[in-house]
Amino acid sequence: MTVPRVGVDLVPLARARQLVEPSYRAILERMLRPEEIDECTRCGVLDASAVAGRLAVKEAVFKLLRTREPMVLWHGIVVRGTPGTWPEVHLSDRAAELARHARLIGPVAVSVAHDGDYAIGVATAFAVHHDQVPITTSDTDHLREEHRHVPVDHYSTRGRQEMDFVQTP
Amino acid sequence: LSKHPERTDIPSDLDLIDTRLVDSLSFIEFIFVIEQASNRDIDTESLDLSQLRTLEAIERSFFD
Repeated sequence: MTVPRVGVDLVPLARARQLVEPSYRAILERMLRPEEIDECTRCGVLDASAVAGRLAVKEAVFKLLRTREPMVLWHGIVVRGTPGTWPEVHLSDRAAELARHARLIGPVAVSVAHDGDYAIGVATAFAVHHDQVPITTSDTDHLREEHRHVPVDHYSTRGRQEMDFVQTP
Repeated sequence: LSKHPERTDIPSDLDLIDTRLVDSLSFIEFIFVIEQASNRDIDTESLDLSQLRTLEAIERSFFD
């Protein structure tokens, strides 16, 4: 038996505007990987709205992990996407480990919205429900098996079909 | 204090995280500033949150 999980987060553009200032570059680089910074750059200028959206998605994904880690795993949760494309999430290192520990299965689907002074990120995934279903029951064994051997990249969102899961009303 | 103009002081035993004076978005900056001030690198992978919860804990952990 699987259960859906949802994570959501809101980032004020004012916070992102500060982060795109040159004096904050070292801090931003701890939150976004170089390729993510490149994708948030429009005509040579770091776009605060894009940065806010990406940070909101990362925080939303982090909430799916239901961990007591003190800090968002900014570099372990990688959000890729250029304008006009659906954002994709890749989990690596500690974030992928926590996803396994949280019994997430299948892809993490995300969506981001911007309006006014805020960006909102939403993330969804399925998790094996370990409280109500004994983990030895046959209907969860295949999920556990899949989960145990799932490669890190399996947690990436891939392709339009998976993204439609989020985007279709 | 400049980030929280509603406050006039920060008691040394005040929990900076539970009170959201330091939130998830500012946590990296918070660590960065401590690193700069203490001239030490902080390994976030092995970080014990209790070292950062209060000003007195920060002083004890990174400035002694």
